[in-house]
Amino acid sequence: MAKIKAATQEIYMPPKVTWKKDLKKNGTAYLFFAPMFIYQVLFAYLPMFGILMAFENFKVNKGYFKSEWVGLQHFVTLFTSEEFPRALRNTVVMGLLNLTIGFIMPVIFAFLLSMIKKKKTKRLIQTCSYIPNFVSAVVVCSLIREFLGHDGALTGLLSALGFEQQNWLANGDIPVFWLINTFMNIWCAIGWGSIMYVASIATVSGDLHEAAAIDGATRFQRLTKITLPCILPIIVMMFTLQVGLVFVTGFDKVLLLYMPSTYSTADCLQTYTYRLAFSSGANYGLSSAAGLFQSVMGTALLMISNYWNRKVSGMSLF
Amino acid sequence: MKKWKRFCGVAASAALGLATMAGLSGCGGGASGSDVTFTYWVYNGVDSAYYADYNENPTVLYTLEKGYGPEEKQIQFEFWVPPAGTAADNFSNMMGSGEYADVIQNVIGDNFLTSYTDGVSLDITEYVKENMPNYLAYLEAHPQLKADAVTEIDGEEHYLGLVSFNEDYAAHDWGHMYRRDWIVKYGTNPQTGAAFSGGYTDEDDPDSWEDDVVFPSGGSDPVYISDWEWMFEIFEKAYADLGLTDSYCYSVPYNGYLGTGELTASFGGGASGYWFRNLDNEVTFGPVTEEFRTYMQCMNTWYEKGWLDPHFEERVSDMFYAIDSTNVRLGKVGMWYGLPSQLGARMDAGDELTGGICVYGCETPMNDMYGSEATRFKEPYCGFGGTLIGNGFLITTSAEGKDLATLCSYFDFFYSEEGSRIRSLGLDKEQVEESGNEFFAKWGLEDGCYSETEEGKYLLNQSIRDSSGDLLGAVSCQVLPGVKLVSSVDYGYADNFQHALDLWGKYENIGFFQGSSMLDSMTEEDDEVYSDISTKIGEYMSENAAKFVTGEWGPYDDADWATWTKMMEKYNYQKVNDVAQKYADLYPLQLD
Repeated sequence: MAKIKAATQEIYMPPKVTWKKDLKKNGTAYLFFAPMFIYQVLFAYLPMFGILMAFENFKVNKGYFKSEWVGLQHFVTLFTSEEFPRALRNTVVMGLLNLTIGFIMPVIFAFLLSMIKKKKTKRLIQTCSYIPNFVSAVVVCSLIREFLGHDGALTGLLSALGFEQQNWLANGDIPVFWLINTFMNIWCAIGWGSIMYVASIATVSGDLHEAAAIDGATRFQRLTKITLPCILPIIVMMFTLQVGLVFVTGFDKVLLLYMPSTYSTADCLQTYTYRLAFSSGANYGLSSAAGLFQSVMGTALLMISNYWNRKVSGMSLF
Repeated sequence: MKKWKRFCGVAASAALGLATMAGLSGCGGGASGSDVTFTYWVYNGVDSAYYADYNENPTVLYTLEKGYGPEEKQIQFEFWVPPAGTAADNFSNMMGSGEYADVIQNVIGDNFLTSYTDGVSLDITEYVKENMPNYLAYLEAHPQLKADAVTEIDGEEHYLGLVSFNEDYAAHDWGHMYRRDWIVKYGTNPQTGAAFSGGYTDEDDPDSWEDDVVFPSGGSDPVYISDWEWMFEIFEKAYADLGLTDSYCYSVPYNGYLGTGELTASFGGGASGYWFRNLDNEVTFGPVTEEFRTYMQCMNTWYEKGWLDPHFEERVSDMFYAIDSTNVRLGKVGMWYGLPSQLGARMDAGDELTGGICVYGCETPMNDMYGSEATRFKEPYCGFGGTLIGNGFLITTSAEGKDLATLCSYFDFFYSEEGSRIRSLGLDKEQVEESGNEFFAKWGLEDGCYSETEEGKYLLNQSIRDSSGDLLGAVSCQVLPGVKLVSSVDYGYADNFQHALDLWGKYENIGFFQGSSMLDSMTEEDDEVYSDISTKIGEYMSENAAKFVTGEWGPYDDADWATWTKMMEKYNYQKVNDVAQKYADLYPLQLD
């Protein structure tokens, strides 16, 4: 840990230059950056103006300035609705499961990959693990339906283990849907999520491993004493970013998999808001209010997580 | 070398930037110039097998060749047709951008009054009164439709849009149907105990089935719930004989009822899963009625007996007219709510379960077994029925300054006898020749799209009747305002097929008003009350109504029923009763 801190302190800081000089010197780089900057401004920052909708009875044909201003009415509607506490609970639980089990699995997978000696085997496994990430949510959910339906392969396996033969997706008991959602997300993201860690592990000096091996360190000891500390900054950074996404539980997949009989455990904030706002007519104000609530919560969690990381490990994202 | 590298870098980044800007600027609509050229937003196009651009519609082209209005001027349209499945998004974009088409087929937009007050559409009263004599005459002859076409502002009648009308209630596009072949094979005459006989008289004709089936109610079609249950017992014999262990007799949508009112209305006439008007024109909330409870008791009984689909709650993604279509198509289900394309022998795949299949349509049954006398032997009057009102059409502020007199004259033509024929059926032989459009010959319509029968009906051309696509949609022009012919059209259906359609339409929809002009005319404020409460109640019902079917909540248990009704009261369904009643009073029931 001390080594990492020291390394951080020794980073070279270039002398300050005026923006004119900088632009003249790095003009080409800025030009390359310009499209992405424009893209971000147009599609990430300007749309934030739409937050106004959360406080208006927004009508498309009236626009932002002519729609009726309703203040916090949409938030009151959202927070006082009967099913809001249940949706919030499900969102948080599914988010936490994704943050814990879902976060750890790619790290473990990366460690396991790094231990494979044969490059071809490693690449093959890596490629196979990436594929689910590129499969559309509709296809993934169709597969899950097939596997977990009454006569599905996984249902058959579970039945062989003593569980009741049933359509698992229709089971509203805790924690069935939560686990299905978590493991489905892991299956989809484990390969893709491990890329950063695999890349980081590859940068760890082989000399350290060699020296440790000569000193008699086992594989596991090298993993925990060398590899893990070396990639810890990356893990912390990824975790901090992930915390901000706790409230994003994979709306599309939940929407495709849940049903009224499993609302009790599957209904999350996004699906609930979607039904509330768009089942009869389009209530853009309410859906914007729900979106804003989730964004604010996500940002707050990100800040807390960053602060906590800085406090505990001395490393932070910003 | 360094300069060259720098030049390349600048060029590459500039190209990237320009490409980005070009990509971002690639959206926008065209505008029409002349005062008789109108842009026209259409909700749905036609099958692309016929033509990709609605501007190629041969019948529209024929009508546009003539002159209209006081100056006999020709007009032009530039149709905006959204790609299939994108109409709602396309419409939102159009409304959001403020670049409206001059004419909008108002399938998903706000009602006339809201569109007008929001500055989207124009008040065309002056043009209608001066240029649309056929439209006004039609309204005069059908005063019950006037409320849909005319908006009252400050005590004065205004025309804020145009409404298309249906000559009569259209045939149903779906309905209940059952395995008639199983009734013949496994059933016996309830009066004599003799076996039934029957079969196809012509192997190549899917509608040539004949039999001697008699139901317990005495007729050759099921009329009562007891007839249905008699059928279910026969289906069970079929399942046993065929070794089917995963079959069932009937399925309902995942929430436990057909939201449109069929079947729930069997138990006392109305009582759909939403609000409806009873025969005294009182707005009533169905789910808290004794009739709805009786429906649940019946469904619960069917579920307990194994007649109902045990997995109905899981079929959330199935449309109400295609529930568990896989098992239905496999021939494992005795009765279902389906489409005309499943009638007769059309589902015969030649396998063990569908070989020799015969599917008959049947009417919505009347309850004769469950609940109190108040819920028995009442003709259903709620259901997904046809209406006399078609789509609305807005002339928007984009058309301001254009020649609206000519436009209205053109539209008025389609409310005339000849115009309504052209709009509904396309061109007759003479008109086809006059048009000189090769489209007709290409699709076998040289003799016109229809001919007149001895009974005075219009028989569709054989090519249209045989077409697997929507050839009628391609040659007619029903995206324009006008009158649609219904009862005057002979579609050439076989007797059995026509009989099924007749049975589906036997009971007219009187009470179910969702999607009707009665709701369309609500003020924004009332509409918000209605939307808010109905959304919350719908949410609660979709999650809980099925519990009565499965027995998780007892439909006979007063405590469970009280929980249900109290929750509905909490959501304040009474407020919608009050709000909607105002409009029910404005719009008279369409009783014949």
